[in-house]
Amino acid sequence: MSTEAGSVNFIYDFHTNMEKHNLILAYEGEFTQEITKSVLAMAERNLDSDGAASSTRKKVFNVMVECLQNICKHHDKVLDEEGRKSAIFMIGKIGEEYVVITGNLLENDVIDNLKARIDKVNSLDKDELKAYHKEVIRNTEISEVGGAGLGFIDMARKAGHKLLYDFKPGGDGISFYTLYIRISNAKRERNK
Amino acid sequence: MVECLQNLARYGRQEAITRYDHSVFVISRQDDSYSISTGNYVGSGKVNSPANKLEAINSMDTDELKMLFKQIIQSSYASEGGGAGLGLIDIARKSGNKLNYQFFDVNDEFHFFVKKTNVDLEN
Repeated sequence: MSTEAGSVNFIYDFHTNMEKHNLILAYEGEFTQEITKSVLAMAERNLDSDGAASSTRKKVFNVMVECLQNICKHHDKVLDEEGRKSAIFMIGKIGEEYVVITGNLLENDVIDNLKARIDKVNSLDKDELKAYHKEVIRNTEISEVGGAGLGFIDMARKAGHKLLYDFKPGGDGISFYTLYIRISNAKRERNK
Repeated sequence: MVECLQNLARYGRQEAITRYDHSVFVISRQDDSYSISTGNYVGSGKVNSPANKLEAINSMDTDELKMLFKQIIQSSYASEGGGAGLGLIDIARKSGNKLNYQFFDVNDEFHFFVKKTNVDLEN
């Protein structure tokens, strides 16, 4: 078969995979402010039509914004093999839970710092996170790229789950960084 | 892209069963062309109509497409889905390439219809 047939097959495989992994939306490519806005708008509409509770929608939306900001701020420093700024953003629904997944390339020398920050957030419970949030607000200066280091704290508080991450070494001093965030559905929390 | 998305919006949601109202839209770039691909479910009984249209369009050259386009504009009334059947012709004319497509068997009731159009980059 020709490569054309192969790439038509790919579309079907891609679709099947999206369904298999319960993905609602996936975007891969360059992230600019404009594109970020459009992706958020699409995601929001999908959540609407999905009938998610409004408190859940807000939480998912918040996490998405934080994730997209992270990508926007950091992804343009490292280019892929073909010189493109490339990152991926996905949302999905697994059972009653929503997931937000991001992936982008980064330089290996920032990994330790990133890991330490996520691990710190993951080690705290709900009340500790709240206290830590306050503490960071009081003490920190705004960093170079405009963040105060609140992103992960916010995400963890909204998500109600630990933040899962992975770094896949890609050679040449860069790695592929994945962040996987589960977000509880409000309905289930109320029943606890 | 606009024609493709309109097609999806019109036909992708005809089947009111949750799993089967999902569509996929992919843009990709190769060295010398862009590809615009769409995929959506169609009822197995409705496969022939788009397949025939696509075959007819793919068999025509630029001038024939232009003629067909005019002919349809003059004679046609809008179809149920809201189109006059011009979309695919338009896609073929704008892209200048054949439309690749395939129907994948999903089950007795549904096929998954993938259509892929290449648009060459101008140098």
